Amino acid sequence: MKILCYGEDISWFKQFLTAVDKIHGEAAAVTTKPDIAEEVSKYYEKVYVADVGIFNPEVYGKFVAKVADEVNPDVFIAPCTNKGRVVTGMYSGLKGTACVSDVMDLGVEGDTLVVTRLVYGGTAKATIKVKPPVSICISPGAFKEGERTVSGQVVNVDFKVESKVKVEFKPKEVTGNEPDKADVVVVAGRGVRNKEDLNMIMELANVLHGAWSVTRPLAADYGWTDTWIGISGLVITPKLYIGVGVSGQPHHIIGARGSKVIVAINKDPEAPIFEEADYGIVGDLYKVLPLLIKRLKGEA
Amino acid sequence: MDFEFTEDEIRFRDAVSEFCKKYIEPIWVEVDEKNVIPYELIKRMADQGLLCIPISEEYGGMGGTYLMTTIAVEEIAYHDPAVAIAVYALLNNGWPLALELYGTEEAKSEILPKVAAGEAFFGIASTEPHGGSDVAGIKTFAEKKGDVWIFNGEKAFISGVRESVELPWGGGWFLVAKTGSREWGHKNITAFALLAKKDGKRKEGFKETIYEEIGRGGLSTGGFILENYELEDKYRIGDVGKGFYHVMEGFNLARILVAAACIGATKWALDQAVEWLKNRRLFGRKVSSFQGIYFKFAELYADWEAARWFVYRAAWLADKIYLEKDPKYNIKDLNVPVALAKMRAPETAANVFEEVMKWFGAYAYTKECNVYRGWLGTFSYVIGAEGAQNIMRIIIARDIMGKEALKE
Amino acid sequence: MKILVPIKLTYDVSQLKFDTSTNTPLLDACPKVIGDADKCALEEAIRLKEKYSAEVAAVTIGDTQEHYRIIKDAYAMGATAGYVIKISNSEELSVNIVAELLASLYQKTGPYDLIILGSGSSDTHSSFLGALLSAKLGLPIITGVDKLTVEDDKVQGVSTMEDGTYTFNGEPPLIITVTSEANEPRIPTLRDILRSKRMPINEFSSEDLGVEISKIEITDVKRYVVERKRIKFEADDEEKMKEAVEKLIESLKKEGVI
Repeated sequence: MKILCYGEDISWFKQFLTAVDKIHGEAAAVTTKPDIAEEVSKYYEKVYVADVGIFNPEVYGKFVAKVADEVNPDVFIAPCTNKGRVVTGMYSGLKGTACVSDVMDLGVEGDTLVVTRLVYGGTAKATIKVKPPVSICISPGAFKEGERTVSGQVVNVDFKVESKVKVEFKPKEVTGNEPDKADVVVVAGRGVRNKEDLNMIMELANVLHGAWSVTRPLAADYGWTDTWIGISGLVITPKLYIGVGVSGQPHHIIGARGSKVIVAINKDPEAPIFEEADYGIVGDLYKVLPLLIKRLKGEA
Repeated sequence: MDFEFTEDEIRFRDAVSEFCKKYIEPIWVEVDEKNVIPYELIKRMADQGLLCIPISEEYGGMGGTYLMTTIAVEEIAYHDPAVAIAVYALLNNGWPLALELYGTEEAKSEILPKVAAGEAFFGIASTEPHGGSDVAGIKTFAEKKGDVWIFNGEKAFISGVRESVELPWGGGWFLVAKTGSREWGHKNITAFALLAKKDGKRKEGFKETIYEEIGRGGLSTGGFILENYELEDKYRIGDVGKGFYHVMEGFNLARILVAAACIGATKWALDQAVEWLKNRRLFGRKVSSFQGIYFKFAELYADWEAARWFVYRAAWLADKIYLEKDPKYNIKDLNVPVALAKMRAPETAANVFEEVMKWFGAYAYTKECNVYRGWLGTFSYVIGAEGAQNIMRIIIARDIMGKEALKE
Repeated sequence: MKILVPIKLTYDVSQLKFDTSTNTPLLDACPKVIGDADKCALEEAIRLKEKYSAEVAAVTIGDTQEHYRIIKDAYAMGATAGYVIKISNSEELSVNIVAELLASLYQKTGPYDLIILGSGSSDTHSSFLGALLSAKLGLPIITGVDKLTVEDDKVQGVSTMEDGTYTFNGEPPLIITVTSEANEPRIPTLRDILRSKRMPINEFSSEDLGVEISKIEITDVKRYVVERKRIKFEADDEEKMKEAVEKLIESLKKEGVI
């Protein structure tokens, strides 16, 4: 099968290698980030690139569609991120392909693609059979980064499209707290009663040289911080996730499921998070956390 | 016979529940602890159309059924088991309806829109220091001089005394006083919309005291002395000498909502209990797995559901009588159904809260546990607010066994 | 100004239970709701109705009583027109067909100045629909808006994504997708609910819209539980707590994550 992979990030392009392998495809890459094109050409024979400016759904969609006119892919693959989903939707609409999101696994049966995807807010997995052409968005962490060495070619595409929509971009403030990049993330849930108590969460994150975040209610409802972990927020795949006072609702879990090891601290033994955790401490976080921090500090 | 709520009743309940989860649930404990309902919440409830639900749209109400009103009160109480907020809502739904039924056009157009807007309070003032249940024995006297009534007397254990004086427009009560003769009797009582404060100005001759109560502190309880207090005749509710009958009707309406509040609070207690019992482990097993516990739970649940059906049946009947004006029913038909609801709901609340606190154990004795707040709040109705429990028994026995059976 | 707001009846996944032996989802017992983002989309449209006397049409795809209910709920929030595209088992439709149906309805009941919809549904959250509509209808689009400002003919949407904040500026005709953080949707009053009962709901069939229905072949829907060790340490007293913390640290060291 012919495949076109879209991304803005080396890690994703490497994850796509594994996906491509699974369906015995041959893939070309397309990116809107000229800085990474060279690097990507170490993994893909052809890397199509154009400097199309700041993210604008219409522009990005038309760009990848134009590249597809040349590549003629059976399958279009993109990351299942906020941008990736929108680009995929645009692409599918322009090219008239089927589209599937939250893909966890791929397979091939003759000329049919067998796609395993998450449904019902991430609580269930479904298998779908779909005939190309099709676009799919791959969930973060679904495929491990693959390896490959080629001397690929960077193809600069001549692309200009005027959009009626104008975009301005303000990059995220680098605070040193980056839950989507850290190896260890400590997350506070509704069991944490006051904003001041977040200091304990931050302390634990510090001791473990990691980042911290919260579940949606603490950010969107209480306004304690700007971002959160969950389906409508950040999706993270750290080595270690520690949920403190997190009950484990599906919309949050889907944002943390890709973690290598999940730890939960909650005083409710029936909290759904314990089903999704490797290790759990059933106890009062206000007593367990100080003890844990003290012990870890002692080690350091 | 249809025991289902209609789609609109379900939609309304869902909307009220959403409102309560957002604005009431997060603050009910603080309201009970600080003994005050923030004015902001009263305004929100008004904007959401939760006050004066059964009042005609013409007077600023929602033009809703009494059943809808009952649903709203039950939901508010579920999210405010200490019930102060629920009682604020129920009083400002039930007594304005009594005013609409028998008040003058002027009084209605002046007062009701303000209550609906959350700017005025309107409750009930019947009880006096020497007694509450014996309404025929009240002593507050109103004398007519020209177009004005002059009041002298005292009322006690009245809800909303502080609110009537602090809300922007003011407010007052559906008040009963002796007119004509001071003797004990039913035919010399007249009802009035007596205002503590009107149009932002306090009325002369009205002097209040606020009590410190043991529960349901968010809504004030107090008393007031009337000394040559003047009220224009346009504020008289119904005919002279008919006040006793009008106030009894008002009590029937209010008691349905009181029972609904007790039901809502009780359900909260039952739900808290289930979570607690399932998660607590003693003697190597879930506490909920002991028969002594779950048999009792089943009994209390049955008591709750039975009392709940009493409430909704009474509300349904109130709509048949007042809204649909179905000729098959008359006002007196409400007496027993309401008494059943008002007898059972608070007593069920008391039993449930007591047992639930026993299940929680020592923790229930701490303020942090919060369950006691619902126990104290609903207990005000066991003690006899809005109608003594034994009066309910008199009403039922007198009707079912017959008046003669009760005579010595 | 005329606005189209597509809304979806979704499963309340936080209440979804699974059969313990087969691990299949118990969908019939799962309550269904309008998603939070869809409510926000309606709220934005109603605010524009209040500001510019806009007409707001709500549309959903399905044929159950609950589908009609959410259109009534949209009316209760303030919508001025309601449509149901009557298709059974609409949850089985592919998002491409959904886009085709909505695009056709847009043409038939338009012209519209804006289409406002939720950025992702509460159950599948693919976020494809807005983009598909944009491609099919040839309309510009701004996505994932947390804060929408409309000033006469100028539309500004601020979207927070993983890497930073995007401010989009466009003008009608335009598609806008909003997140569940865009606003606080109003709660209808009793009066709103009672009035909504009498509002007309216009029905369309797939034939009326000239769209051929094909359903996606979904097989094998099973509960998704990542294999986890599920080791629990009791910590209800001080002794046990100290022990639990020790054991946890030991385990994490073994896992190589600390």
